[in-house]
Amino acid sequence: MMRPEALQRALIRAVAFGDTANEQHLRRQLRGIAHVGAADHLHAAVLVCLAHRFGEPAPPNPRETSQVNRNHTVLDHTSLSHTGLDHITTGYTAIDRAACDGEAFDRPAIDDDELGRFMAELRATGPGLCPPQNFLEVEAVIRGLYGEPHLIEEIGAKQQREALAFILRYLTESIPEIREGFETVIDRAQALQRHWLTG
Amino acid sequence: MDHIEHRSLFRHHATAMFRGDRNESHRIERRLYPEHATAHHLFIQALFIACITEYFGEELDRRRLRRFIARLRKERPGVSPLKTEALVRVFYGETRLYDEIPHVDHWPCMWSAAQMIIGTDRDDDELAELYDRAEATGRDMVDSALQTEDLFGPRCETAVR
Repeated sequence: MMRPEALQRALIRAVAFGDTANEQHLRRQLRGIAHVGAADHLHAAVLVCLAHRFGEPAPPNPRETSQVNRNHTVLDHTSLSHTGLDHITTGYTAIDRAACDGEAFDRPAIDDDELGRFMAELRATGPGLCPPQNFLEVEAVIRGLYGEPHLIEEIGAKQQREALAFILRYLTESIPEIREGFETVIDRAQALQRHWLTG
Repeated sequence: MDHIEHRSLFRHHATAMFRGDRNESHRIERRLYPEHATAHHLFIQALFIACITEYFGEELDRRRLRRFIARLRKERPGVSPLKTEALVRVFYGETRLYDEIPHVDHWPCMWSAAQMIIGTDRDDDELAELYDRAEATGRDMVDSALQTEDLFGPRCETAVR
C-alpha cells in the first residue's frame, strides 16, 4: 500500500498522462477523505497548468484590492506568482459583487479571443485524449476557475471532474514544460492546496 | 389551423409574454402544443434573434454581453447565465454551441433575454414591427438552412479564430 502523499502524486500523474488503467488501480486505494484530497489536487494541478497557457490574470481592479491583499501569503518558494493564483481562486467574492454592477466583466481574467483559440484547440483534439461531449461545460469550468465561479456551479460534479481531467491531459500533452517538469507541477499544486487549507 | 391563424397566435402569445399576462400565454400555449411546437419554436428563435440584433447590433461586443448576463443573473435568478450567454453567441456565429445547450433550457433562456431587451411598455404597433422583423429573420433562416450548410441563422461559423 502506498503512502497517501505518494498515492496522490502517482494518481495525478496517471490522470495527466492518460494512464487510465493505472488511474483506476490507484483510485481504488483512496480511503475516505483522500477522495476529496484527490479532487482538490486535480483542481490545483489544472490551475497551475492553465497559468502556463494564459499567464497571470489581469491585475485586480481597486474594488478587489483589499480582498486580494488579504490573501497575499508566503508561497514564494516556487517561480509561480501566487499573487495571481490567489486572485484566481479566492478573489471571487469581490469579483462577484462587482459583476452585478457590470464592471468586473469589462476585464475578464482571460481574454475572450485567447479563450476562443484555446477552446478551438480543445475541440480539435483527437479521440486519444478522450474529449468530453460538451465543450460549453469545459469552457464554464475554465472561466469558473478564472473569476466567474457561478459558471462552475451550473456544472455537475461528474462533468466538472471530466472537464478538469481533460484540460489537464491536453495541457500536459501540448506544453513540454509541463510534461517534462511534472514533479514541479505537483509541488506547486500541493503548495496551492496547503494555502487553501491554511489561508 | 391555417397559416394566418398560426401567425396571429404566435404574435398574441409573444405579446402576452412581453406584457407578463401568463393566463393569456398559457391559454394560447394550450392551443399550440404539442402539434405546432416546431413552428412555434422557429418563431421564438427568430424573435430571439430579432431582439438580440436590436440590442447588440450586427457585431457582438463581448463586454456588452457580459454586462447583459450580469444583469440577467440579478434580475432572473433560476435562468442559466451560461446557457443564455451561449445561445446569444450561437446566433453570432458560434453555431457549434447549439447542440451543447439542452433543449429544455432554450425557452427560459430565450424568453428571459427577449423580455429584458423589449421591456413591458412597447405599444401594439412597435411590437407588430418587431414581429415583422422576426418573421423576415425566420424566412432567412429557413432559406439559408435549405441553401447552405448553415443551420441556425444567417451568420456563418466564426468561432475558430
